[in-house]
Amino acid sequence: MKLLELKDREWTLSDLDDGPGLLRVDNGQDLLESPPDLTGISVVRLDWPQFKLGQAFTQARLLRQRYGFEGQIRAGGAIFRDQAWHAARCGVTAFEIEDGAEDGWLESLHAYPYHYQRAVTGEAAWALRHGGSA
Amino acid sequence: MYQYDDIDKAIVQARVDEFRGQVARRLTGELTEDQFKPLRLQNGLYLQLHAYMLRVAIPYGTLSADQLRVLASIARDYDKGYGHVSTRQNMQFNWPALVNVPDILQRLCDAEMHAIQTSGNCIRNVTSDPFAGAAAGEVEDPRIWCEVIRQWSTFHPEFAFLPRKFKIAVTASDEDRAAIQVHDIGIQLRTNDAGEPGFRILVGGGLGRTPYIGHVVRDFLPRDQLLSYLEAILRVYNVHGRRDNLFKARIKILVNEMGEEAFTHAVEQEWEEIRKLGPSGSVDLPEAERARIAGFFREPDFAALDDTDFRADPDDAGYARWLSRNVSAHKRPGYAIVTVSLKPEGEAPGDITADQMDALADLADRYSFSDVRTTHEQNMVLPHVRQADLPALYAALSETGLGSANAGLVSDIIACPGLDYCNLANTRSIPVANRIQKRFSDPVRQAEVGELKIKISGCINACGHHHVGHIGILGVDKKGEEFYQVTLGGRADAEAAIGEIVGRGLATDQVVDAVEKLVDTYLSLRTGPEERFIDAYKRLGAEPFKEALYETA
Ligand code: SF4
Repeated sequence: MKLLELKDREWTLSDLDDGPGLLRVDNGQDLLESPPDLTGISVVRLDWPQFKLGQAFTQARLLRQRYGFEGQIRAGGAIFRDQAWHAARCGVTAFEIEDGAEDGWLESLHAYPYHYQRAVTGEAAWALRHGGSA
Repeated sequence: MYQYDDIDKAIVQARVDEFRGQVARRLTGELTEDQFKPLRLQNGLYLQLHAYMLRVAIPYGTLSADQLRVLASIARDYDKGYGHVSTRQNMQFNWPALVNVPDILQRLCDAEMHAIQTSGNCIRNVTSDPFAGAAAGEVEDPRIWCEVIRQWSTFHPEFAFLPRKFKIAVTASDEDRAAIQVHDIGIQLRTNDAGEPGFRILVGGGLGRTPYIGHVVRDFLPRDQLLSYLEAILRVYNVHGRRDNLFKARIKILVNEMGEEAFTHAVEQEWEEIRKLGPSGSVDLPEAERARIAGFFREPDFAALDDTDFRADPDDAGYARWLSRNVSAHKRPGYAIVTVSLKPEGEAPGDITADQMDALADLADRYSFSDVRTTHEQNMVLPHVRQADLPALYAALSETGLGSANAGLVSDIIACPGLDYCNLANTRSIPVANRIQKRFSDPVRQAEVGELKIKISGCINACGHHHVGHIGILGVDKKGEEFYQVTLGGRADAEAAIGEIVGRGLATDQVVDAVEKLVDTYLSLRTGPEERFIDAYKRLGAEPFKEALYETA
């Protein structure tokens, strides 16, 4: 496994390592109810036990937009490359991927030039249409 | 209607290119069918009994004449010469080959159409009133808000993998022609006491295995806060909706398990949180963008006409019936709304041939400002026809087999594809519809019976909306034998109700007789022709109908 990670706005490949400061958040954990304890945490790993368990998209967005987490949000498990751009727009900044799979992941991450709605990253189409000022 | 700008075009084109790549990965074996399935499902591509089925989105049921011609060309070039209007106002093609699907999507894309989110556990094509912009009594054209929702929900990054599919319908008048009370979210445009426009928001309606009428979670939401409120509802659902059981995964189950009050509270609380992001983080649409989108739904250039006495003395009995059944009042004097029936006797309800699509597109150009609609009752509509043009339009429709004068009558049946196409089916639906049509073939008799909505589903998934049929027919499988369960009194209008099961299931050869008995009972008990079947049922209850059904059966 490798880590495809957003560094200085570029997706870069590195070795996967679970250093200190890593928090694993369970897919079923309700972050609406309460935030996880983020003190001393630099990486939050979100889990997709199956690709269709989409709660983690909400978890990522809450971590970024409600709880102000600025470290790495990492996606692992059964998430597949065609879902990666959704996750990235919700605030995920690193993906655990199979060795040699990076070209496909990068292609998927860059498949869409525009987005309709405002999320964590990626300007909304309506903002672009009206000169970036909402 | 809405026209794509460069951003819309680039987004839809990107989806075509992406899907072309995914199909290539599937064809080379890089993707297994299991891995490919969620990808094709996000593009409306199902694997059915005999072949793939492609469901093309017709956002809120609105098409231009040129788009209809493109659908005709797809039917001709990639299918067996016809398409099928679904109960979500979409068009389905039952015979495309997988290798051709990227080319079909490209052809759609070139005509500003797509198949995005017509299947899968995501927010589906938003539906609306087929008379939008033509009927009297609208606060404004509901399609403005449908388009707002279409854009917001398209590739929404947080809500593309929900517990289950999610359906939204929007209407703008008190007369509900979009069945908003049986949708995951139903939205009604209205004004408050101060005359300001906004929305009533219903959540948790739906059909399927456990039918529910939606709950009002907000009686009035200011117009500019729609998207943040929808995000709050979807987020509560995405977090709390059940994923352990496919049959309990719809939002209606969540609303009922949490209780209406607790659910509403959770939504309102989440909405407050979202609003704390302030204007710089707001997901709501700025006024300038609302105005831009609204600009595409301005009224066509109606002529100043006077109403005519067009219903008086038609010289032809067929034309007279068509006028009384298929022509509805328009908001402008001198105009009328025409329902084009896709329910001729003996055809699959909702089917339309490529030649008919082309003919209808020409008629839309000539008589209806190039505007065509699809309806959730599996018909089509020409929304803006001059009353003076009605005789010529009727003649032209009749010539191409689209002149059936049966809108809303016993032969205007909604039926799901059933065992003829669908791999989940218990029973056939289309042949049952055809047999009922045949029994009531006499147009005079149909007219005498008046409005009667029969809806048929081939299994409990209820794609044929049987729960909201005045007479609902559900196919069930009992020990390998096909049976049909009859429900009565359902309706999807402003007084929405779920039909009651009246008794034990009926064998295939008893169904048509049963419908006839119900109709005869109604005819003998109604106070007069102005009391419709559904009104009589409301007054009398199920008893007399049950008696008629089971006393001799
Ligand atoms: S109701 Fe059942 S049989 Fe009919 S189309 Fe839906 S899933 Fe298939």
